[in-house]
Amino acid sequence: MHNLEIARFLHLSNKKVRAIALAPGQALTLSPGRIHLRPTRLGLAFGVLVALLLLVGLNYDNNLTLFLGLWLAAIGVHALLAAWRQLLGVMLSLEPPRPAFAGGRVRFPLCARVPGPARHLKLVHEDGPRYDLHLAPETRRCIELELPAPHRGRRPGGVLSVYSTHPLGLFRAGVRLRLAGTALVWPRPASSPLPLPFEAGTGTATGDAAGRARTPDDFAGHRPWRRGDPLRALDWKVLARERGMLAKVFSSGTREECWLDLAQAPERDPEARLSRLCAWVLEAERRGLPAGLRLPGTLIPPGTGERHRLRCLEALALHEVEHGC
Amino acid sequence: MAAEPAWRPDRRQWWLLGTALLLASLPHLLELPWSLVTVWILLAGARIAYGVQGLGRVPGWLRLPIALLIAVLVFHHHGTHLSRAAATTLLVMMAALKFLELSRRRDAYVLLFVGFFLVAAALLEDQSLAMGLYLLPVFLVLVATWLGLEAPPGECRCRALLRRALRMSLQTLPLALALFVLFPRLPAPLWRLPENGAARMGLGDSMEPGAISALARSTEPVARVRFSDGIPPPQQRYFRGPVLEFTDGRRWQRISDRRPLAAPPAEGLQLLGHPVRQEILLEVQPHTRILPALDYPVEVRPPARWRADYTLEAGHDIDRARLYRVVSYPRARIRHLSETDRLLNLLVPETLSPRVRALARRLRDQAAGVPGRIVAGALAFFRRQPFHYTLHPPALDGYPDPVDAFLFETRRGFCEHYASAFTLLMRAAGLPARVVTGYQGGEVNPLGHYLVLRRADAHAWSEVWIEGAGWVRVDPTAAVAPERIERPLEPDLPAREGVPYLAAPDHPLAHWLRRLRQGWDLVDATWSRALAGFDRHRQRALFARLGLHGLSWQILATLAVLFLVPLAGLAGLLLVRRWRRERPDPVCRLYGRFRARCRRHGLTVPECQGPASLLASLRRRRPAWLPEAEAFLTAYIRLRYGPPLSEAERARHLRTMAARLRRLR
Repeated sequence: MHNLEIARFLHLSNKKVRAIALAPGQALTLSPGRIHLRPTRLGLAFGVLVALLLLVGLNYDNNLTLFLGLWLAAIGVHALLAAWRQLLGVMLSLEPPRPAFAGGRVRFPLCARVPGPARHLKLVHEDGPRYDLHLAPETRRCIELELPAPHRGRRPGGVLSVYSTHPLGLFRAGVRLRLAGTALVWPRPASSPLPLPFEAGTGTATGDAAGRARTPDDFAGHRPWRRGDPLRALDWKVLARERGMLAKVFSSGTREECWLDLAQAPERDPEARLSRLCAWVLEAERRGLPAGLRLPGTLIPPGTGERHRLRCLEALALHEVEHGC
Repeated sequence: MAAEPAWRPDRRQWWLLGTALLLASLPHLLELPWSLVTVWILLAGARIAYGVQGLGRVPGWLRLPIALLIAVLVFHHHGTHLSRAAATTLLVMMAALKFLELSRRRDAYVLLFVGFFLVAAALLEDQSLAMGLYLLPVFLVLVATWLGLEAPPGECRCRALLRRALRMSLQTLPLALALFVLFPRLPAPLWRLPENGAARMGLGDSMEPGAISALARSTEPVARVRFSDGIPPPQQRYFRGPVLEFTDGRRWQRISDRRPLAAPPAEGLQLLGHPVRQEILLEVQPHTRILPALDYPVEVRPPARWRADYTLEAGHDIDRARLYRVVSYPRARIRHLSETDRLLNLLVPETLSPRVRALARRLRDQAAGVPGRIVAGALAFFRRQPFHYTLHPPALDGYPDPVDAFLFETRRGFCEHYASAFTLLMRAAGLPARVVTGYQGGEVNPLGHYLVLRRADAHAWSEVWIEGAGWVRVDPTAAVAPERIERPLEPDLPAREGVPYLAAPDHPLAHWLRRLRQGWDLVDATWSRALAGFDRHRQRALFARLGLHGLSWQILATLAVLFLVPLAGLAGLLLVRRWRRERPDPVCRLYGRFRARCRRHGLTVPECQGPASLLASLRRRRPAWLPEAEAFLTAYIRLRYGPPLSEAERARHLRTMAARLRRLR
């Protein structure tokens, strides 16, 4: 009875252990009841070794061999407790995850604070990435779990095993954490460059970008030639290639507001169109052009700045694509 | 789950593993034939030549022939039936081969475990103190290697690893000792592998001319005997071994299927003189079950069997040192002789020459048939004729009747010649007689007050049945060379061949060296005694002394298993308590619960957010909570950041916090 309780207490059962949820901004201290223990394959082999030594020692009535076996068994017990202590009291916390473009890797910053002696932890994510975390005594360290993000949308944190087999690799003490937050995955920016779609705004600089330094003749793109434009603004090279009359726009002179619309993207595949829009948003931001985003159901007025860009990218990431898939 | 990343042993791991394996193999290598040692050295050399990291896996076409070669050599050396020595040899050789192709993490662990097994195999062969002292550091190096295999890269400093191994071993030693005392012992072995090719000699079931003199050079201890009432004089120190009753004239043989003694041993004896209590620590004796004991054993602990000829016999071969206590009556006589035994002990081989028969007849006639006088006449014959006691008697192989040749021609012999010739003379003269082999004399260790019996103390004497007196011990060697019996042998006087100069007994250094040797022997004997002494019976006695009577080994087994688990649990609980002590104080705990509650209601509370900013955000997002949350956080700020409070004030604030927290729903 007593033993059963201890076994349960130590989580020696072999059943799949329920993962503990860990939300961003939340901290989790690994308490005894949360850590589960099980022998590794090496541990099972070691059990066989000890059993063999004991059997030989008993059979030949050889006290020293018997003692060797029992000493190794005692070391095994030590290893069990030591592995368990590796996790005990470690405080884990998850910071808000960092987004990424599709095809890249989102990052979940995970911090571990160690109250006692040094720890040697291993982190294995169900989607592959593994990390070794060696922590000095009484320290706090953060690592960024980089998880593959193949598709646009929200990428769930998945299940992370935090475990240790230190010092002998015989037993594995660990917890399974469900990383409760989700990371935003933006569409992958289209790789082939296309000029920004152009739509004339109000024509005058809005002046909202006060204090932002700009080189005076920063080439910013093209727009259709209008009567009354200065002749030097005409792009002769384009004209020579018989692509029509386009005026060069310089960011110092003209402050244009452009709208980026899903309908403007030349691609046919909805995901590709989002990719195109994503590339445009980045391009507009790079050049400091106030660009608004128009998606079905979403309208983001033109603006600039990091916050604006993130807003646009989020809208793109979460845009429901209505096509039969 | 993703596969383990690729592994290569780093330099230190490699060297540690190599050293550990070399050290663990060394005791076995010393026993191997040169051919296998050569192969082993070649394998090790190849490994070094290839460098630490140079060679991945040995190609298959090379591995197979090497393994075959090893197998052939092992079978050539050990024969085809599986013995323990053959298994150990295979293990040593295959470890060397495996080390050559060390390329995976698994290989390293296989080798590590083989290392532990090699240590065990060495202990099976030899449990002496010297071996123990040698293997202890080997064990530590193995544990250090293990720690090194598991250590994070770059943290593999050899000295630090050894220190950790030492610490870990010391920490686990008490548990190991407790388990050792508790662990049940088997009443009988489960299996035995036949032993072959044992190099050690000892008293066996038969004796030929030259058998005992071959032992005379060996100073290897056979047994150490402690007497509780002082060491008896040399003339009484006859330790009974195999009794040989059947002969073909050259070879004496024990009748091994003799029945056990039916009656209690004391009843068959005429008890004369005082009992002598002894505690005998017998070293490993291959191929025999006989427990030598001072003539004539009456009681023995732990129990053993008596043969009808009063030899003591253990249940199985003595393949480890044994400790047993015997009570003997050195001057007792065996009173009974069955009719079969009488006939058996009168048998004379047909090859016995007429000259010997004539001598026997003459002896009987001179004594007028009185048995005591026949014996005295024969001893007088040995004394009067020019007999010599020598370790190097001439070979008797060419003679059709060795007894005849010894009695009338060579007249130079060792105890076995005298005992053999004398016994046959008695039989020819009509007295039942037999040869008894055993140990006689021994060396007193003055430091430990015990007697050391060495192989060189092996001896053979006769027993003659004398009507009315019983079996009487007669030692014909004593008639020729009384000094052999009076003091430990200083055999063979001419030239002292082969005896190193320093061993000459009169050299001052020799005296000093002898003392040193005796000192070591004392330590070794104490170790051996403690180790061999702790068996099933001792364990039971210990439990009895603790008030646990009549524990069967099944109960012990259950106890031992149950002992491990609660012990682990107990240690765990201690750790928990330690962990509890590290828990945050109530203030932090309440605050933690508050934040948890906020989170549960959908608010994000980053780790970095302080209480004031938390309050501000609550004001905006959860106005309904405000009065409670504000009171709670104010109290928290006061407790955590304000100037120190009195105990009562602190408790009041804590109560406020707890109450407010409860009201937050």
